[in-house]
Amino acid sequence: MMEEPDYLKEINNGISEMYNSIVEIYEMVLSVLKEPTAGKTKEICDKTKLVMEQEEAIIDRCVEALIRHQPFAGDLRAVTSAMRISYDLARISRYLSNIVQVIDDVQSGVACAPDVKGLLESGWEMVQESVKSYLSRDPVRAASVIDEDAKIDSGYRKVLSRYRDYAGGGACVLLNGLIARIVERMADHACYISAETVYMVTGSRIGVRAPKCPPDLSSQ
Amino acid sequence: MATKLVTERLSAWFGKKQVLKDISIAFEERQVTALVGPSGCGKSTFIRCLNRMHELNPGARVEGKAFLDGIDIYGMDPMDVRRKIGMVFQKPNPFPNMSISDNVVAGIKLSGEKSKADLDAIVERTLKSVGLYDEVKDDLRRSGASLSGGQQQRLCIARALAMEPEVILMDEPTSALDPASTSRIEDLIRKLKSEITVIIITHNVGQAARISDKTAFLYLGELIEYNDTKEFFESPKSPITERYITGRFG
Repeated sequence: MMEEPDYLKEINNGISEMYNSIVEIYEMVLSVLKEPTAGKTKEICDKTKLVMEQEEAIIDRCVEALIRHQPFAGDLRAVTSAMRISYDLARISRYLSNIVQVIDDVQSGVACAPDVKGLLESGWEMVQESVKSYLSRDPVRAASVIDEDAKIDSGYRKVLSRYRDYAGGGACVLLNGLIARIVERMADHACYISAETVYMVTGSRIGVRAPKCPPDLSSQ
Repeated sequence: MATKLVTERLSAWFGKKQVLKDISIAFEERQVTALVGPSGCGKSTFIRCLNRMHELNPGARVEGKAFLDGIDIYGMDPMDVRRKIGMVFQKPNPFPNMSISDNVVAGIKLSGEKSKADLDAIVERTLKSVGLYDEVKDDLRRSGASLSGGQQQRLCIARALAMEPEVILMDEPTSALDPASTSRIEDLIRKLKSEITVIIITHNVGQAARISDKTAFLYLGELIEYNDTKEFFESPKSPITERYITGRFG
């Protein structure tokens, strides 16, 4: 592998810092799911704003790299991929903060169902793997993240199917259905990050950003 | 896209030293093709083989084939080849003792009789096509050498175009020019391709990316890679190409 120029190292550091902020958000979300705590929502919201600022800073660095260095080939792909990945990470941070907002909005005291929490953990694992594959420039590891997406989609559909005729109360349906949906979207962005890594390293595009067909609940 | 100019296993030598090795390439009609590669890789020799200027060097030799519209250019009259395949050099080289208008029609005057009215029309048409006419129309009798570097290069392009070539070869045509003049020449090259096939050598990979439809990379006398420019600069197939265009060597 060719040594990366300094401007790409700086961009990677930016992505790494952004990811670290999102790890903190995820840990705060887990603590809220375990035990809702007053003031946590604002803390998560502030951290999410920081992630948005980090995204802006990465985009700025990428634009500057395009202007100053006019990169080509692998360097060009690294810059354009970093721009897309920073957007995907920003979306993931928004989704994580949305989980806490859903809990606040529903205000029912209903707990997140174990399978939905398990779905969140699986989705988060995909996010972790996608970022690690990007930082280590590992297209094989990245491709394996994309393979995991079907499990998340299937888990999401199972949750919807289970709550479709649920008689136990609207709050429970809302909370778990919305969180499952958020996780499904978060996992999609993990796939986008992985696809960017494959493109960045190999030059080949995997068409994961195309919209999926609506789930067929009757088959569940 | 029709092919205009094709080489088949073209090799070239200076004395015993082989400088081009079995180059096979098809240049598409009315497209701009950029040739890139480190100094000494054979780019200039290659394009000089295309209009039979290489053989003018003492001890120079060419093997292989080159076809213009399917006709072997090494079976043609060299002067006819050079009329159909014009050339613009790195350093603007207007004839210093000739006026602007005489510079434009110098080649035409050599190749046959034309009336003054015809020559005036050619001067106006070609100077307009390179965007120089409005800048010089008030004094076409001025010496070509009195123009700025960028204007001189456009004058040289006008001189090449006056011969109505089918292909124009450009050997680093902007390397001696300032950014504004470079930009004008690049605009002109993009415009020219609506009528003729352009093959340009450049050391500026950014310029190759900006103006060409196809790009070829030569290294140590061999054609390493030839592809659509976007593909070439986004995802080159060869690691050597990648290393060159990302500035790791060359």
